[in-house]
Amino acid sequence: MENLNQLTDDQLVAIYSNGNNKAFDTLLTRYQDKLYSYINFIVRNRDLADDIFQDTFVKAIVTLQKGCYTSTGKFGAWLTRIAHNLIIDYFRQDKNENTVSNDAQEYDLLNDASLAETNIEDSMINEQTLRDVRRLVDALPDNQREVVFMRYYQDLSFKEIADITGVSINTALGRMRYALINIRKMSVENGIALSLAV
Amino acid sequence: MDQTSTTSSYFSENIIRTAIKSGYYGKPALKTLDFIREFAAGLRRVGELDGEASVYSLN
Repeated sequence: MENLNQLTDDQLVAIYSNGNNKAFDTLLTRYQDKLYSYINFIVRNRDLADDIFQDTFVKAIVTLQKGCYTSTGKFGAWLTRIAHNLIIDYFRQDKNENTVSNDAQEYDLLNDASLAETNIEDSMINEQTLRDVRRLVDALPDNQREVVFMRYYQDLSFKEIADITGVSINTALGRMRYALINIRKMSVENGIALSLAV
Repeated sequence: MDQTSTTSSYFSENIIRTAIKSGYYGKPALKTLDFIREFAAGLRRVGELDGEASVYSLN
């Protein structure tokens, strides 16, 4: 029997569409952690991330079963686009109902005890620095945070990011530029060194 | 934070990439994965029986 793990995404889609559920399981295993990480990074709520993750795959499965998926070799990007749209829907609905937008969240970085540690081993300093940087990224507006994650965690090109988020490449580039500017600005304001011990 | 001579003063995208890559963002719950697998298998059966797969809206 052919090893499903060695097949491409589009081959697995074709096999699943022809009745082999194990092909779908392979696709799920291939993308579950990466997709969940993306969703949870954006929504910052595990239960909500699970719901959106599940809805993403439900939509994907229905589309596959209807034969509406077009093989382009970008199954992962397609899944991410579905998740992105569901996240947008959620935030839109949530905003209408009451909650404060993530953009408006304030992070009191200076009062975070973990940021006050000094005089520790280089490796610990580095770990602390990386945590600090993640906090700075976390404090970015949602659309900038999303681009940073797609670029640096998912290693997507700006073309792919633009396609997934439904904006122009220039807008995606602009969001990244502003993200970097904001990270620098916040690091200065909060006295966080953006450097690693060598 | 202490910035001694052992600390390089560079700022680049690499530190952000490293920070993002080294973060842990969780995994989907097992019950969620089970549901999805069952849905993937079950939807086909529904569709094969009477074409009701279309009851699931894509929008």
